[in-house]
Amino acid sequence: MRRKSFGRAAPWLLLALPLMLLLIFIVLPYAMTFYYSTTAATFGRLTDSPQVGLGNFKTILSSGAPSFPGVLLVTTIFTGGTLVGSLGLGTALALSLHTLSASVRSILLAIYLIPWVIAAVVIGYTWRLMYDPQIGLANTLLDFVGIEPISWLTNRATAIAALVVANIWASYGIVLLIMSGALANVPPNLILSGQVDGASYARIVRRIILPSIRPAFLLAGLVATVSGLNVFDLIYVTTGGGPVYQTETMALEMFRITTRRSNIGEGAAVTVILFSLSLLLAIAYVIIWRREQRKWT
Amino acid sequence: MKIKGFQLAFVATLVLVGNACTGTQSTPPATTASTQPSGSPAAAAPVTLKVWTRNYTVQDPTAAGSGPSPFFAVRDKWKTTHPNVSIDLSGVPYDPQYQRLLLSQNGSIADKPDVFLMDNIWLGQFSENGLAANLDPYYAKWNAASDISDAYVASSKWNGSQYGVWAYSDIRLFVWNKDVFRSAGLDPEKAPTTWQEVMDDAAAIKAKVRGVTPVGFPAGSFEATVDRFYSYLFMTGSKILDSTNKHAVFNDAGGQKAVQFLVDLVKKGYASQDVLGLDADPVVSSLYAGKFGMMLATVGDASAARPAGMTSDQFKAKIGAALPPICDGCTQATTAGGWMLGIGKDSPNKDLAWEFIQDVTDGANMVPFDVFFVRVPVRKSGLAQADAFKADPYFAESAKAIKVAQFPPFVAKYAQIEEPIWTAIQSAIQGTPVKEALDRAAKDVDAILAAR
Repeated sequence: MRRKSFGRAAPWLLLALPLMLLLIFIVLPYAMTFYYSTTAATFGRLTDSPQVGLGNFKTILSSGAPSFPGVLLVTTIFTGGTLVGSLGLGTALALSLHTLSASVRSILLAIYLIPWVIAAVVIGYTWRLMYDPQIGLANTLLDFVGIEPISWLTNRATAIAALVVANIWASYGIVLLIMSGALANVPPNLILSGQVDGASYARIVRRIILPSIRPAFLLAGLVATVSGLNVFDLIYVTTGGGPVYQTETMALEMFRITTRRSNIGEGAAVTVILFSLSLLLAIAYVIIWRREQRKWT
Repeated sequence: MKIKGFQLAFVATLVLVGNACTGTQSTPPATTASTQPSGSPAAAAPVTLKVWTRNYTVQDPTAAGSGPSPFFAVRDKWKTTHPNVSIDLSGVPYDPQYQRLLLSQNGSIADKPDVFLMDNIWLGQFSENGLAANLDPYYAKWNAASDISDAYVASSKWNGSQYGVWAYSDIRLFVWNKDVFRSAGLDPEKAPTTWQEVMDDAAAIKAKVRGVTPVGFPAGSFEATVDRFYSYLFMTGSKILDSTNKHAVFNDAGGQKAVQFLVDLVKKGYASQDVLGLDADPVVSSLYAGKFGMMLATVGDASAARPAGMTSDQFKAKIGAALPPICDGCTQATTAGGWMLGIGKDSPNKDLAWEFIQDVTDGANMVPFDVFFVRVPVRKSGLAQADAFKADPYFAESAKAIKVAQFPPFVAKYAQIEEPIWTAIQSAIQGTPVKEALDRAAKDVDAILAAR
């Protein structure tokens, strides 16, 4: 009897520590962030800061420098670009690797994953050097073909594009990993039957492989989107959100308001908005995932 | 009470994460000088004086690149003169110093420093927020107060009262690369003294020296952008805020003229639009590397940033430094910055703290520090010791600059109002009409100052 009840409690005992850690390091900080977003807290006034209700959200949404729609647009372009680029590049690489022998594939996979394991700050500094107007690789290549050097990081259009490229480089690895895992699970007999029927590789990819890995696409898409939405370090070391807030995403805005302006309340409000957007994406993912699951079962 | 403690711990964690993100160094271990009870008959109650300063002022003396520390000097002296006093010295980088001082306001008295070093731009904030103690009673009895250089006397005051004691200063000078000047056929020993001469020299560099951008200045989203710009604003007669410190005035005709100067440099191709991404340090490095011909303003004569191994003579042969060039109808001006010592408002050891500050800022302790770190003495007696500064080839320029030094306004929200100003400079360089960019920034600054 005692053994039986211990058996029932065992999973909870095993889960207790991770749950406690989750509570301390995830749930409580989030709860505190929600709390601070309704206060006028600053670094110098944390403990008895007055309640302002939704005042911080109103301030953020009506701010003119930079405007919230402007920050949202930059965030959307950056996230959308990261999503499309990393999903495209990661999937293309995974499909290409899939055609190679297992030994070559594993070596190349390890090489292709290097950018993903490098710290974003290092990637940021690397790309900043690449875009350096005087010694950077980007302008050196342009010089080879006789094109005038470009101020990559100080012009709005090129700055966002340059940052998207850098973030695609930083994040395609996780897509590649997810897709490679999914491709390994595609039943070989499906591909073989396509080959027997005389289908080209492109047709097999379009008709057999891609439909088979749709759930993985969803997961990779979510990961790529969240990695675009939450990126801070790469942009911070590359452009710092400037010039004139033209590369300021919500993650940068959160940092700027909290640290430069010492305004914890408004910084927390931006965090809550960003969290809500991520949550909405996660909910959408779960809904679509369930629909997909129904199709497959 | 427990919630308060948790809030503090939570925000402290945020700060640490933030610091990690900004690449600041971790806090070095506190250096503590515990004095053993000497058995002296005084047998006064033991006291610990908590001193929060910058990391480079309390570097391990055996470490490479460390200089003389006025704090160590006083600590060592006090071991015999004040045997009952332990001096708890703690030095951290710039951002952590600012943040720990702000955060200390939430703690108990035991969490707060007795003495702290503050950037002069923090003075207004720390005075208004009740972190710094009013030092008027001490100043009233302090003979050495008259030794402080005239330009600095009022700059440690907030709301008419003294809240800080100047420790050391840094002054903005115009610097140029003599090799680039030689290559352009210019006199390498002659600095441009007017804005027009800057344009003329830049034109010569552009025409004759390939691969060099004639002029550099920081215009990225950094504090240095405004700090290096102010000299040009001040010389037009403009200010940042009005005399009430409640409204922006940098958008007046003088302010527009100063920003237009930067815009013209970019428009004429004498400076690159890449300045929009630059902080001050890369500009200085590029000046040394011969990628820029001139830099409109830097801290001191830039000798503190010289490459390792470069001797004073080599430095003098390569880099020139002078007062910033002025515009037609303008008056010579430059910007000064630096560090002051304050006493914690809640400190139970204010008298001792004042005594400590007097000793630390005394010329005998501070001048060797100024010499090593190429800072400018704020005391007349320090400035008079030209011999001590003979290794600095441009000390005379710094001494001249001190007489025309001006300061950013001492308002609590100074750190917040910098951002609209550098954004205005960036907007103007990107093509927004100067007046429009400055008017928008002035409106933003007024809103920041008006907000509770």
